[in-house]
Amino acid sequence: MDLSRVFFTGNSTMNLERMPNEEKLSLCRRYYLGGFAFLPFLWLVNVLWFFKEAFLKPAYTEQPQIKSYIKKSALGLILWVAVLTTWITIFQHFRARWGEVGDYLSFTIPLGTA
Amino acid sequence: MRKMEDLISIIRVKLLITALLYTCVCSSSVEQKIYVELNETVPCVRLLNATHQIGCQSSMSGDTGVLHVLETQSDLDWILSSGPHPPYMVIMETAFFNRSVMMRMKNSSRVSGVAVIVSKTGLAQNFSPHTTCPNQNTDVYSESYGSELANCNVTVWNPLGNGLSYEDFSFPVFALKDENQTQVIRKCYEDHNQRVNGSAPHYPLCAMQLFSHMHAVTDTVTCMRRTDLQNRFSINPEVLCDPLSDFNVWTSTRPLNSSAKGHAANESVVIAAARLDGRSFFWEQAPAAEGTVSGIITLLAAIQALYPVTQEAPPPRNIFFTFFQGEAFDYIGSSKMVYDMEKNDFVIDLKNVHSILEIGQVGLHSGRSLWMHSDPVSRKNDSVNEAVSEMMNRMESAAAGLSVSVGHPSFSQPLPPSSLQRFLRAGPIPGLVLADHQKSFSNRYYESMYDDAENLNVTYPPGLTPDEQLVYETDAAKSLAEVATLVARSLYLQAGGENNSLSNITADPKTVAQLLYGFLVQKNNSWFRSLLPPEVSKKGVNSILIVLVFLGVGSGVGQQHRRAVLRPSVRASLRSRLSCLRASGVRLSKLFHMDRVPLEEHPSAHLSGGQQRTGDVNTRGGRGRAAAVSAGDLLHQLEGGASV
Repeated sequence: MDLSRVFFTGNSTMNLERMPNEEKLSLCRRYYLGGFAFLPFLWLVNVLWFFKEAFLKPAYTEQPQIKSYIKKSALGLILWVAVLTTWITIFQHFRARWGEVGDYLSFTIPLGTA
Repeated sequence: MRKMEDLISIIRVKLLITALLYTCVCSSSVEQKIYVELNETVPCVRLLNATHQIGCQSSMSGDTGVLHVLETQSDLDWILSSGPHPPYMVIMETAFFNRSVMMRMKNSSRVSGVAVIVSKTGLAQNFSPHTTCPNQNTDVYSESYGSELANCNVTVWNPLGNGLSYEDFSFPVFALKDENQTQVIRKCYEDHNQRVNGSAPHYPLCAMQLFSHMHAVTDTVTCMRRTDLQNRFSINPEVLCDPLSDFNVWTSTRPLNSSAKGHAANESVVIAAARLDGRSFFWEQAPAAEGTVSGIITLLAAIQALYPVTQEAPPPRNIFFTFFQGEAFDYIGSSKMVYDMEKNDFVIDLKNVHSILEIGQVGLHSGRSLWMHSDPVSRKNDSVNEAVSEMMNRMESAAAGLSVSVGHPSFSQPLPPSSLQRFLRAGPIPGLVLADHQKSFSNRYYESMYDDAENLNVTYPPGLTPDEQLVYETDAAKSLAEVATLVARSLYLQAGGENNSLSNITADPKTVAQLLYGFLVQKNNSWFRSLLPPEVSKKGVNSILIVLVFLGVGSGVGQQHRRAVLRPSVRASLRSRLSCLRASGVRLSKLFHMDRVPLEEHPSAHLSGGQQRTGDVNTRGGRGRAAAVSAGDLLHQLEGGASV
């Protein structure tokens, strides 16, 4: 993996202007694949970063593939958000009621309230 | 130019350091301008048992509210419905501290805390925050044993009880004990918060902050589990709760080998028992004069009265005096002793016990008779019935010639709440509970902070110095001395002693008067000081309960009964938007500190206050339970008859 490309893209803004299209595609693919390692934020970054590239720029050869990666990343992201939101809501609401299980699942337990 | 710049930067640094120092040193002066601390305040704390939590809790940073003094019914309506500045911090006059008002406050969201003014003016005729049927779940009467007598079906022991101590409040409740500070609060209220012609007051308003955040929650099981998790996984473990633990105290007329456990050969003992503890709605404000101290003093005076005759004409059986701690909370002390006896972990076991005489509340008989309560269910057994009848006869013959008389209530009446019940759970043992009430308690202030010297009619004529008051024999002292004589003589007879030695057994009214003074009025007196090690008698607070030393036997009460626990520290603060009112009492609330000292050295265990909020577990504050009397000393003194 060419880390220098992934992490050091030059100036502070994520400037894809001067990147050739093949590099854009490979970057997009890397982020997409990386998100499967329980890293939904990579998918979020992927979607935000390449959205303009995929949908708002005039067409070029690599664009359909980038589009598909963005769509799949967005799908994975929505799934993660749904799962996490559900779990967090359930935990916050029911932790006190679960008694022992709730305590063993918790990292810090508030003092003085259930 | 260079040098100039250096100079300027050095000056800047110096200025900065000076400014910082100044703020650090003088920052508290602003706080003092805003807040007035209230010192003489006592909180209500949270207590847990295996299934529930009771008591009061405040928010993590204290609860604040606009002050309002509750003096009339219209004030109550203002607070609960019509006042425009909720939440209110209620300053409650004594007359309004009852169940109906407190429950309305509990159910209202407009009350953020209550501060109760503690005074005798306006005090109702009776006030008992305990339940109507004390310890009903842990006594001997259940479905399988006298089911028709269980749950106070036959006799309601504490009919005046309102059960406030067993409610769970989600706001802090404090007691204001200092009259001067109460005046300050009232003045602030009158200046800023009072309604003028029925219209609402305008800002700025006087406010108060009460802080008594409790760490413990839900029940003991949860607390112990979380404590365990804290200790295992946390770098700086938080203390969540403390066990209600302490020591029982025992002694005997014939020495028992305290290191030998299990059945003691050739020993038949008569147990004479009394309880050592009391409680009230607020933390560590329980004088328990009639509820507990009357029994303790009677037994101590009886021990002193028995000493000479047990040397000259020792009775065949041993007399085993014991004082049980923690009886208010489902019989912690007595159940521990029974447990140890059953497990052969105590100097005697249940087969050694011949009979039990328990001294209950005996302070208010005032010329009427005392009552010998017994358990009807165990008396269905003929041998037990015979033994109990014999015990009653002995007691009646011991009362002959004394100004106090004894009677027995109807046969079918159950035992009042007493330690004897825990012994009966283990087996049928003949026993009596001596009390001044035939049916319900005569004590109108049972387990409340108003059960004090005045409730026992211990009053001194004006103009006496403390030392004169110490030895002044009040009527209460004389009548308790009579009771003690009765107890001592009955015990002697019960232990098999001869009738003709009875007249030599008399309790000394002077000792009783001194004990009454020491326990109920001022524990820092010359007599206690002469008996006790100096650091014990110096503890400040002028209230109740003694700690007697556990003579010898190792296991503390705490081991089995951690089920009721509470949590440390408490602080009250009072804050106003305009002027400075802030109460801060760092309350020491680690309940008991066990100070196990070997018998050879000086035996003194302190019931000291507790533990600072900073988490210093080893600090023994000393604020809480002040009176600590070393039983070793006291008993030694009483037995030796030296300079009393």
